[in-house]
Amino acid sequence: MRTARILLVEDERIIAAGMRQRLTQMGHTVLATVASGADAIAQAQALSPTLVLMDIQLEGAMDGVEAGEYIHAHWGIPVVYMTAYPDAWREQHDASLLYVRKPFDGDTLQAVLETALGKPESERG
Amino acid sequence: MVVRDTGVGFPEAVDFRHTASLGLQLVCMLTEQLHGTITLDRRRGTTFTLTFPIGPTS
Repeated sequence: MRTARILLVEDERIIAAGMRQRLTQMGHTVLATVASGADAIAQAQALSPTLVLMDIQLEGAMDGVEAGEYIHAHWGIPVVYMTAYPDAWREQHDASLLYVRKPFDGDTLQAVLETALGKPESERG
Repeated sequence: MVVRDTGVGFPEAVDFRHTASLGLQLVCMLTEQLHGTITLDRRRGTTFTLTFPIGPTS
């Protein structure tokens, strides 16, 4: 199972704490948890996570998709979005934007995470 | 908002911001989410004072 160094972006603190615990139990490392798009961008630059787990509704003017697109465009870090409305998400967004239903179950998250992380170094040509 | 009692007092050795108590963890998380502050006064029992801004914060 591949593990990631994750930047978690979630503005509901209690939900974030639960997610952090769940991700850690799964074997991942949560580098930081932030609540706004601006903080997500700052921490992505500072911490160089291997993956960003991004909620859509955030504190401040920027939403998660805006912050996620910025992070991916500038530093090539994969972003997995969390949405409570996967049907609406699929209608509104390109299939290239990876997502999980929120609340996530571990197996689904792990599968999407592995897709986001791509082929491991050892398997690349 | 003030929550107080006149009991034996909050243990000196316990840091209420970093505790195994789920209740206190929830209080601190929610206070932060609401951009508030929380202080503890250990004199004459236990007094927690939570202060929140009115209206939007930048």
